[in-house]
Amino acid sequence: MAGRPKIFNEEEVINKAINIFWSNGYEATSTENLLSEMEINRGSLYHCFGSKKELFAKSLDLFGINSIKMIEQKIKTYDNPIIGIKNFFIELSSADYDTHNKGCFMGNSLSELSNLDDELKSKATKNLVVLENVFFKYISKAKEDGQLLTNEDSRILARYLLNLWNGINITRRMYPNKEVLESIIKLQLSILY
Amino acid sequence: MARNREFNTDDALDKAMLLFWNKGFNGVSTQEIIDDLNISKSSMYGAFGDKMELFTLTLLRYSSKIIVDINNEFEISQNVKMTFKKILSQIYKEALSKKLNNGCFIVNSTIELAPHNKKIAKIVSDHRTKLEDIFENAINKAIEKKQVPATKNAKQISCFFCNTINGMYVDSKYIRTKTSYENTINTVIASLD
Repeated sequence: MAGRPKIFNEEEVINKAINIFWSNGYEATSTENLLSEMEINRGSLYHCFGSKKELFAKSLDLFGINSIKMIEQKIKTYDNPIIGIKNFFIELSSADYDTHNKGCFMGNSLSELSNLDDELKSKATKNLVVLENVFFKYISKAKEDGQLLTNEDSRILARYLLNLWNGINITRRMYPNKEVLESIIKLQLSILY
Repeated sequence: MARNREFNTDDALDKAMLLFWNKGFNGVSTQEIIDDLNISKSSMYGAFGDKMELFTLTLLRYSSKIIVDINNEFEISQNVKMTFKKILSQIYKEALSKKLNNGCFIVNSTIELAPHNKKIAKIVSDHRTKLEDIFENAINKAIEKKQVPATKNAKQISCFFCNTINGMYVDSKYIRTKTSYENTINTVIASLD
């Protein structure tokens, strides 16, 4: 099969780009970093993905779709979605040091790019809004099924969970420590169950 | 020639702080710094060292300002809940009124640099510890004055409030509705009831 052009799986390659963008941020990732991580040549990079910015945009989109799907899947596996939400957050506290240090790819991107690039900012924003909507959907469901401790409005609770999410992804870098994180998360979630 | 090399160190540090706060370490070039500070490259190196050393000085300067301000808030405080509400509300009020929303310099640096730079990681976690200590003392005093029930764990709640603050700074990069913040703040402050 010699002479056949190199074919690569686009999603696989974007996932490698996500890794490096997530660890380093947008500005600090060089084209050289991307090429060595993605294991493709410069020509393929530009041909398939255009610029670094376009690749970053695709990374945000793909990561958003896949990670939110995964989070929803975790919440859905429980008959009581509140337990699912609780376990999802508590599991974060036992991540390894490197995972704590990476924080949230969306929050990181928002923080870095909110004053530098509106287009990328809006992609990161969109994903956080979708995540909030996932929380809203399952809180509303739990409320209907009488599984919720509080009478608080579901939208307010979903927003509160996003604040917890955005905060814990900063805190886990300051305190990459299971006990501390678990105690904050439990206290913050105690209004739900 | 004959350029005046005399400059006010405090003013220069404030200007540099604002640059880094707005754009991050990687978003600012050395050229931009010397243009904005209106000093020569050699004066910059002579007075502050390289770009990272200058950045570190500005981050420490920011941190001590915040710690002094928050300390003052609690010194004049009559009611701990009102003071927390004021501190938390200031975050969204500033974010919504600023044309260029730069969030919190500590949070921004936690995201951009702490994972890759031990010195910066130490500055941001020291800042967090100081802030939590101030909160914890204030809550303990309020417990003595019977403004807060004695059953409350001051240390845990301080950690929780710091987490909320971190989250609000990330929220403030994309959420523009006042009521959304007010609802979160009310939910959070209720943990002192």
